[in-house]
Amino acid sequence: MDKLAKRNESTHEVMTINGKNVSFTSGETILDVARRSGIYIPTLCARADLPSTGSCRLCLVKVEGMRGYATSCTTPAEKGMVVITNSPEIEKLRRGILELILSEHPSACLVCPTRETCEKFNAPSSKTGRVTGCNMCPNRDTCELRQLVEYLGLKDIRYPILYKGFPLERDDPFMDRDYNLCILCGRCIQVCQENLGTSAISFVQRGHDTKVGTSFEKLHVDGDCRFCMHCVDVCPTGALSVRGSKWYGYPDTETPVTCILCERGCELVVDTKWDKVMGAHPVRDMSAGKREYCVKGRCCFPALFNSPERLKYPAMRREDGRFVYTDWDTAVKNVSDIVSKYNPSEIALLSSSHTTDESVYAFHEFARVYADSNIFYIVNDRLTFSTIEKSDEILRDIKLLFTLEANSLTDEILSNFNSLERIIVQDIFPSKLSSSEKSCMILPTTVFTEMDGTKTCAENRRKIVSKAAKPPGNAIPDWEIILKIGNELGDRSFKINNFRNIQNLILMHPWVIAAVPMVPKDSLLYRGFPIADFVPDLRKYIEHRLKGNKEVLF
Amino acid sequence: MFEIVEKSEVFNVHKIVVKAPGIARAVRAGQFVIIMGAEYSERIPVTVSDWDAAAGTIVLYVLEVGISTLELARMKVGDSLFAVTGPLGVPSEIKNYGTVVLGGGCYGIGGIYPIAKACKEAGNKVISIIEARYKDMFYNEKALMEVSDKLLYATSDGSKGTKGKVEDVVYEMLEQGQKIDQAFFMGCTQMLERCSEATRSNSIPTKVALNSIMLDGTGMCGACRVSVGGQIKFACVDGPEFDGHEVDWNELHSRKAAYAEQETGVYQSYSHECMAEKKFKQELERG
Repeated sequence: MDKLAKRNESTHEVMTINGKNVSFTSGETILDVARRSGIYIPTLCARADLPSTGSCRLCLVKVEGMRGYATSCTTPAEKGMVVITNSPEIEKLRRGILELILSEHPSACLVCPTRETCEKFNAPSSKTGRVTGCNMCPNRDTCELRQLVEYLGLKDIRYPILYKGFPLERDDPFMDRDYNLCILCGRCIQVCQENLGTSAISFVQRGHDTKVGTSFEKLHVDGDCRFCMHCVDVCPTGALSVRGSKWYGYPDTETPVTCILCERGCELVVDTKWDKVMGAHPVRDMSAGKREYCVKGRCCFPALFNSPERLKYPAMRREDGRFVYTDWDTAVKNVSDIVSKYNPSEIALLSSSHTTDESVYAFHEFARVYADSNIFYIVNDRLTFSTIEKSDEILRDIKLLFTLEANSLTDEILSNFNSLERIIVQDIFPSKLSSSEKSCMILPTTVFTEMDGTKTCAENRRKIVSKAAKPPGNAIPDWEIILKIGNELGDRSFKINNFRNIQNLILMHPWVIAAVPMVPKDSLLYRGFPIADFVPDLRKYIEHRLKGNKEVLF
Repeated sequence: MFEIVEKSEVFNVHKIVVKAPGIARAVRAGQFVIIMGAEYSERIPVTVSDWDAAAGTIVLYVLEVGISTLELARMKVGDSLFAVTGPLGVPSEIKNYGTVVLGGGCYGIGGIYPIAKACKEAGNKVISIIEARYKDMFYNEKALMEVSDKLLYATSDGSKGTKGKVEDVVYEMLEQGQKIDQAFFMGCTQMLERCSEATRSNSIPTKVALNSIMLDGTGMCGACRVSVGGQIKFACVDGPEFDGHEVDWNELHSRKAAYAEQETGVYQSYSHECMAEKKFKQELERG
């Protein structure tokens, strides 16, 4: 209420930019007003979501009655102010400033006559360590410096190019840094200090030796950095990059998804190229928002989901005991044959918190019809039934186990199943259990970036999970597999026919989803698999954090 | 094992001096070796840029362009390469041509040195032209100067020599009426293509050292297939040097980008581990 009242009280004043009358409220800078009114002023350091420092000097404008030129990002708008943002004189000044910036940046490619053909043919196959020109730079498709060169029509750089000669910093997990490309705009420091309050990095040294760094030049992982990668998001150059996802260039598609690696359900945008997840980042406009993303969601997607170990084709055990690949029709028929051999009370299902609500619902429906509602979860290595009527005693009679989280089944838990005969494994990676003697079917399923649906996260917020990438091989979503098997078995009380059907049923039976245990935010598992097993850099990160007695996630 | 006895970096080009006595005895100008950093690394073809038969060492200039060359770049003096196979490929044809022009860029600055040396010994007038983005990016100049009658520079920003590339220097020379009897070029595919264009109008015999994707280096796999004059050739056993005016450049460009997806994806699960630390851990495990 206070805020609203304040807004109404604040006076709307009028000023003139480029001959156009624009209104503003007190406290806005010239740059804010211009941006809001659709007038472009080039900037390299100022962003709408960061405090302004006036370090790049490119936003210089002429203010009538003011001596010299003013930086529009730091000059507050005043009543009756007359501002000119682009005149030949100002453009010349900006070109000069940009030339000076570029003279300390490896920019020979910008003025090279063979740039275009080189970029077309040579650039895709070179992934250099030390960047010596734009064509070798991972950031070439989104570089703000290059955009400004185009905008200002810079054709030549009059000054000799100085290469600073800092060593490459590539020993940190997930992140590569090459401060020879840095233009000292200070955005990374602003976002780290002001927006997130972390202060992992700051300017170090003085004069020509100035660079961005940690205290005592320690590795980031040994300092306060938590690898939220907001510094990479705001960097206008290629100085900072996420190692795993820096070379794919411009993505084919960007899909907003919900990360369901823990109960928080952060919204992220997933970049896809070649039908694969290449990287994840916050929504571009919010990239300097005051919200930290954890290292799991920000850095681990590509390595985890594109792992060559992913299960790709359904497999069944032959009579001689060996697994053979098969198609879905045969696999589904086989599973239904196996399931129909047992009484419902002899079947138990292990569900997962790491899959969509639709899949969980379908699994519950399957359990209700075919498995006497024997459905359980594993939380902290302990078995939890979804309904309180069930207890550990029923486990003694279980002969068939259908699992969505094979890797969570420890030997201790399995020892409760005294008369277990067969296991059906529906999973994303092979595990010890899937190759054990008892397992008879392996059904490959998808990860959450490869299926559509919803997921109920903390505080009962239901969020959208959307398909961004193509599943490997013939893998299909959890709910689809269960629906196929349920319908193949042919019991009339199995009510699900399609996806929409499940969504309607969820609304009618919300308690089914409410019974799904939440994944704690410090969980390092995905469907029972340690994420670090598939993301070597996460292992490195965890090892360093533990060595320094610091919390691993936040 | 093939021990690294010297290692330095000049702007992404890594000089690696390796102990390989057998190769050092047998290698000739224009030949290459295939090296592997570790047991499970890719096989990387690298031109032998110098050798010392007495000390049993060879000099390699490796350009970091992917994950396997990244591994090589991060190795230190005292580390050992897992494998060095060679010498491979057909040696350059060296005879008394008259005036020979050698053009080199990136790893080619080092790579043209043995050819220049051999040409000089065969009594040619050797003109070497080297290109880089800035003047600081040149290396091995002193050695090259000793075996060349003339050493010319080309830089993208004009900080040393001609502003432009090797072909600009070639055009300049042709304009001035300089007679060229034979040209050799070594560098990135773009540079080879442009330089071959430069010598085409005057029908100067031009040899280019192609750098197609290579696997075994002995003509078995066909990964390095190139079309030269309408015929299929293997860069490993028929090359690496071919007539620059006959090469199908478009095919070469597209074949070089064939594995862009895999080359990009492999960075996702890469984690650098210090070699010494790795060794130490292994020793610990063994007890």
